[in-house]
Amino acid sequence: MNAAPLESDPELDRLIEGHLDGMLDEDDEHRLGRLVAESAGVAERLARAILVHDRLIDLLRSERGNSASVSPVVPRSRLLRLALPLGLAVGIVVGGLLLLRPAPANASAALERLVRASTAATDRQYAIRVVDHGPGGVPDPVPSEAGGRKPGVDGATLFVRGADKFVFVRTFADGTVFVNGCDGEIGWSVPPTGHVHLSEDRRRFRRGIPGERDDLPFLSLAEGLAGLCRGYALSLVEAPEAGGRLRLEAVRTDSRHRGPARATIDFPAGDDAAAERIELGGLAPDGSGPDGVVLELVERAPLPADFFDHAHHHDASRPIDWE
Amino acid sequence: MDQRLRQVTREWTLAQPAVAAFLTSVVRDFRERDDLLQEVAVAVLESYDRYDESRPFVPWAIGIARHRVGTWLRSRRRARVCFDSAAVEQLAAAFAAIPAGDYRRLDRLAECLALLEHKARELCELRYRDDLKPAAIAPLVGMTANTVAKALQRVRDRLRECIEQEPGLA
Repeated sequence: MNAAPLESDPELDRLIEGHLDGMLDEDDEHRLGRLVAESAGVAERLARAILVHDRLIDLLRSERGNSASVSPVVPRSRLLRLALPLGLAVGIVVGGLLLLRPAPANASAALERLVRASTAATDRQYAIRVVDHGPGGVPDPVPSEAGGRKPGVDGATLFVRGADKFVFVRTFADGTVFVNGCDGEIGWSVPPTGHVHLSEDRRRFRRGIPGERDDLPFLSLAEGLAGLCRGYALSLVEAPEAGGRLRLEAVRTDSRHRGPARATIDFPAGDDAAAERIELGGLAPDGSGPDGVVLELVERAPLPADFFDHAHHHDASRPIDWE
Repeated sequence: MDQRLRQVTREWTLAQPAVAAFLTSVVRDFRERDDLLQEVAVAVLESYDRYDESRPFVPWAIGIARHRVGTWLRSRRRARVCFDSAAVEQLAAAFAAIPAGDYRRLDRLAECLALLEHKARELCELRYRDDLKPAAIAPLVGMTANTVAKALQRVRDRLRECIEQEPGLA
């Protein structure tokens, strides 16, 4: 291996591929390093080889991540490590619009309180608005169930109880509603007519809802909030326009997490940290759905005990399909 | 949401594949690469007010990554490190010079991966999903480490050819 390999030399291929798989001995590694340092052409060849290698890492590791269950536990150390620099960064970016509170413990403690509050048994009702329809523009209203399409999320209502019970109501243009939800154990879907669908897979009927294909589903607020600790930079700020409430800003820093690019959560400064307004941005930049959605807390009042059971939302005579 | 915040997140989203690949070229351990990527993202956000918008974003972000890698290399002085600062400089320049279209082409990789036959797919999963080196993969698949390494090289060659094809031909 005395001769320096040409850029198309099989010996260079061996060095590059060996580098990708950690198969080179120390001498070969230094040799490759020297070749890279001396030749822009070799550097480009290595760079291009690494593009595929790097994307394979992301693709296949994200498959492993997607198959893992989502835990609501917040890794505190990660948040502590990120909160201070990102608090500073966001403060710079927003140019003084927000008053920075760069205490790392504040951001981590705030997120923990938000997750805790979202898992509390208190019933909450959120109104959902689409604030950015994305490249696809405003979609046509879905007139009725007849066409097989489901209504959009603009104007939908989300009811939540605790960490894992929800009811999500979307309305067709003819006034009929499509309801899906979860009672904590069973996922269910109730169209205006026909069969009611049940599944032990609690996520089964969430498909097609913005954020659901991502790591930050907003139908389960506890899950979504806890998800902010993965691949997001967090900062806690005080927003004058939020009426003295605190604001948690989350900016996605890792594209392997397919959640929204940005999230802003307003919540009261006191002990009750229930999220009052959640704005998710960059949900679907590819135009596959709305890109920006706001959830606003409109009601905190006890709902009927069986409100999160499917039977509450349909006539007892409706046929049931288990899936 | 603040316009500038939108802008930096949009720019970072587009630049991240290049920055991540650059870091992967220098940092062999996947987890260390993840940590460095996170640090670079923070530094990019912190420094965004110093970014000259008349210049391309990707080389600027890679420049920040290069500085972080320099610090990382110094902290690993006694460890076995493959590239010195001159090689890192050269690699940073190489990644910055790759056209954006070449990064976009990588979006076809998932489609190409789906076309692999079972054995090739299994090797990819063991190498990339489970982060195993060829020597560790070998006993799992009944091959020698060298054969695994050669097989992985062939798989990557096929994947590179596949993403070069026109969409739909893969």
